Amino acid sequence: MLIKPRALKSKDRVAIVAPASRPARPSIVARARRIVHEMGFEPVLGRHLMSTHGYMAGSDDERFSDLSQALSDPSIHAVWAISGGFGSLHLLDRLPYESLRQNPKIILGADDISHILLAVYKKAGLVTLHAPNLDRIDNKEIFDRLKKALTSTDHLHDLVHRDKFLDDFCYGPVDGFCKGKIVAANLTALVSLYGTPYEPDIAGSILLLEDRAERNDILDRWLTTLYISGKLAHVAAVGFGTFENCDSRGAFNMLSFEELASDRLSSMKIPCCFDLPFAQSAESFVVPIGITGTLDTAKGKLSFTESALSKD
Amino acid sequence: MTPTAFEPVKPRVLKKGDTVAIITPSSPAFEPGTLKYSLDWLHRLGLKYKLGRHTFESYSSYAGSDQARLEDFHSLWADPEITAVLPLRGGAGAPRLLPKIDFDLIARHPKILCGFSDITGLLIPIHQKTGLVTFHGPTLGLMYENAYTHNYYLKALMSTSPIGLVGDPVDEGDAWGFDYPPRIVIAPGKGRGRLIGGCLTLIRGLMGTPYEIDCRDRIVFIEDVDEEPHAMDRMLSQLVLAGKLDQAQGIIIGDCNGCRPGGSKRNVLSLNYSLETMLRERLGHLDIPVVFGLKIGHTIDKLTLPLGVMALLEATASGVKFKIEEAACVDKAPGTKK
Repeated sequence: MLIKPRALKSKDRVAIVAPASRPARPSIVARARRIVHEMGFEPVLGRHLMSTHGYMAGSDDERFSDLSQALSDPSIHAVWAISGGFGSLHLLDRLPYESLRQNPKIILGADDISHILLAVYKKAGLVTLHAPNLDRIDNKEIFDRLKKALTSTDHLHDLVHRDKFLDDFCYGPVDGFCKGKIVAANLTALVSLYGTPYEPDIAGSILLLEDRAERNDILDRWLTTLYISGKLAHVAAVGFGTFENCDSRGAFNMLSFEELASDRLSSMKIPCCFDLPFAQSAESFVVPIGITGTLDTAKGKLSFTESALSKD
Repeated sequence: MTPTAFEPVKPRVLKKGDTVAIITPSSPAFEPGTLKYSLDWLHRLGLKYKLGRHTFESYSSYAGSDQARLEDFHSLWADPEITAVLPLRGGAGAPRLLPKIDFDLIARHPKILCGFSDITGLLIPIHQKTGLVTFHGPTLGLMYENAYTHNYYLKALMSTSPIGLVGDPVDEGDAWGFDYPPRIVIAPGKGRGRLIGGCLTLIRGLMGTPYEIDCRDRIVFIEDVDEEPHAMDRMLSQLVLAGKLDQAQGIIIGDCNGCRPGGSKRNVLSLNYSLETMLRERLGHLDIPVVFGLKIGHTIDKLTLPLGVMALLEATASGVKFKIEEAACVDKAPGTKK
């Protein structure tokens, strides 16, 4: 049974956490606090946001204490990651899944936070939101869109591939109109959950994939994992988001990920399209994990057929 | 599967006068010209060869289409004249072949397969699906890199005796050179089990698939190249979450060339948190021996480790003992596996 978290109201408390790496500068924390405040919520800062332990924002215990406190405290209504990096995986075995089932709340973030979003969806059956981390919010449009997404029980905004120049342009190698539950993930993170108790079920889903700063052949490696697992064959459709700073690293004879992925999906006859406004950047739209939607790959349009949040 | 219950299928030993197959199931030869060196070395060992038809083809970073690479793999594997299948190099692409690999054909014609890196994507699945002992050692183009590598290669592939006690390379070079200590104890203990393992990127890529590594009662070896400590952490954490490492009898982390902070040239998340520190934090609590630094995979000094044979790993304050106790090859070709 899918659980939807309650939409935020004015003055609700929003925890700001860093379960992976720490934000790059203290000003990002001050700014994140201000952004949450400007949205009309009360920011609650994790104690260890600027701690460091190797590449992580504090030791596993420190990050866990901030995150689990935010997830378990009934006075906190949403938990928003401030930054990605690495470290979420260490915490998955200890997250308060049962308490989240009892007291559901909004959890949002991207990048390494994708692990947490997928694990909570899997273990607590709670809808989580793939949305920019707080350190990526840099314009009014995304601020307004996020505020609306967090406070409204309306269906979220469609994701439409938008070309800056050509209207209605979309690159969809396999046309199709599909309906299914939405599983949105960072590709590297999704594959990191394979074979673990946190691996999401993607059968019948509209699988939305994004990644950042990876070489094409490495992305193909992880797509290959989905393929050889036999599970990719059962998805309804694949929508690729933006693959920021992903390329061949200068090797001209290396095919683009677009080609490698569409070769694979074409041979499997799985509808797919590229360049949906979905990733980790400020331009990224909010995509709820677990709710039902439709993907029209010929038009490059993802729509939601239900709300992500509940009224109360 | 208990170590005693599992009986591996051992390939016939590689002998002078035999014919080997040269294939490229992953990426193509770096330069066609360098193939000559490999052929000269085969000649020196008294070996003949057959070359895969598609060895020099190209599709993205792969040596031709999946279909072409599969065709070479299957036709040479089925060839009764071939004793050993020797990929020329790794790279990327071998796991793409798995759903169409004919494991029955492999089981019917047990023979030597030796490689590392991307070839891990064949070594583990073939070993697990057919019981065949496969070899994590140099690809053909690297088997003559130096004496240490070459000697262990011959011990594994061209002998019916167990490899025995594994030694470290002797430093014959510049006394001023800096070598990371080759054997660091991450967790002390003593374990015995059949060997399994390979390149971590490939092991991780097989998770959640029908070819996922089975670590139960095994001595598991893991290595990689140019992956930052956080990337190694991600992949090892996946194995931890999947409960894989708890099931092992011992863990050997290889030298892991370039897996230091800043070593990947890709995503640097830390410049002062070493692989060793990460390993201590993630694996130091295990109740099995965990050692770090053996010469496996992406180092010039390279062991050849047979997947499926019994080995002993003992790590104490006074040192690390790693002994391969069982022979990997047999004198006569084993019969058809039922």
